[in-house]
Amino acid sequence: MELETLKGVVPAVLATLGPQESIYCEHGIMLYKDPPVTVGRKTIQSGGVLSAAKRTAVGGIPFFLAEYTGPGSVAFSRDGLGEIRDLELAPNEVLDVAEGSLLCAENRIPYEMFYVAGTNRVGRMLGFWMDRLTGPGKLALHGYGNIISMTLGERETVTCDYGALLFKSGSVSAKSRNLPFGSGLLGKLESYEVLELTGPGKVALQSIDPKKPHT
Amino acid sequence: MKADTIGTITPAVLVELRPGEKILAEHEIMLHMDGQVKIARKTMKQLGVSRAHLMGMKARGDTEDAYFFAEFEGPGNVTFSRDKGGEVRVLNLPAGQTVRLRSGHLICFDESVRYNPMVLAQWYIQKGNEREAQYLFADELTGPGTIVFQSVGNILSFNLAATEAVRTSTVGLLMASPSNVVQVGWLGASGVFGGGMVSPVLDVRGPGPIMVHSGV
Repeated sequence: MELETLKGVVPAVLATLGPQESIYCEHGIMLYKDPPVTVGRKTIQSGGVLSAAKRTAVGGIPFFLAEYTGPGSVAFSRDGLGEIRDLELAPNEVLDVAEGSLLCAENRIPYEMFYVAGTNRVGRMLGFWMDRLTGPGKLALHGYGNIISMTLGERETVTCDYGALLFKSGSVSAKSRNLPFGSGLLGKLESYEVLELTGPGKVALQSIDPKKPHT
Repeated sequence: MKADTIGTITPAVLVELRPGEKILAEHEIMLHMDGQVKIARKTMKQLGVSRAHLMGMKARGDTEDAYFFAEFEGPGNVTFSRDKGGEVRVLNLPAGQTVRLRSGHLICFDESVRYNPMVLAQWYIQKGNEREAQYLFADELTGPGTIVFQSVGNILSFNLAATEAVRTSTVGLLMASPSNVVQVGWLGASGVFGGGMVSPVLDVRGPGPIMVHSGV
């Protein structure tokens, strides 16, 4: 499988598939495909029935992914301003991708989802879901706005906004945290709900929160 | 502070803070910060904005001004993003120099900069049988210190002479200086179908530098 970024303000990715080669992506983000490319359904098998019910009922995440099988080309777009990154995962390399950012991945990459809990406070009562992809294989991601990459050392920490996280290595932990603005009741009530990422591993941030309007 | 722009289409701002150095930013526009950067709250009262002034601004309605800023203290790096496409500008204000920046566009500013929310222009529109007041809110910032702000779309800069004037849409004006006179004018359509249809515009007179942005 070959991945090519179609650059522009709102970029897309073009996947060229050989015979019987398959990729998967979120349903509804296909831009176009060659007629020989067939479309199927790939059920998300991650965490059992209760987890699937929570994902769909609370998170609004579908039960299945779309699966495209070659030969031919298929293009995907997330309909947003930003940058696309093509990555190739080494065997057993784990990458966690923020929900709504994966464009496509090779079918041999196992796909799971996991939940990052919120702070259980007003403003960040709920957390968010991330896609967990394990190598080997190729994948493409859409970062909203510009992508800022960094590598965290052992126990090195960076604090970021919830919408800023694009992807992280599986070895990087993500934890919701309140940053109180000050002492006293008012200072503690008005805290800043953030995500604390602790290394070691790679982290990529995006300059637009995809859940906020950004026209 | 040392501020750099990251990216082009939807830029973020990377601010490098020395030990003990403090900057103020609107709450919830932080993208990421190093673990050692401290965060606190700076209320408008602490910035010298009186409660009566703030309540007056709030009473007028649509101002985006909160009653506090988030304060970040170095050492370390902090990035901010307004989640919009546009240009970021870093402006070093000498002592005593004042700019008036359209509200909702400020990213961060040095602790040494004096801040005052204000109404830059006011006009009325007819809604049915009632006249409704509309306001152009602005952040008045006085040096010394660095301010960082972002436009929506591209920035067009003009330095108006004393006899010069430009006309912009009410959403187009991004920044003016206190020496500029900002007045509301009306663009009217003539003819049978256009009679009575008027829309507000801003007439900005010199002297002084102004900025206009291309987005809304």
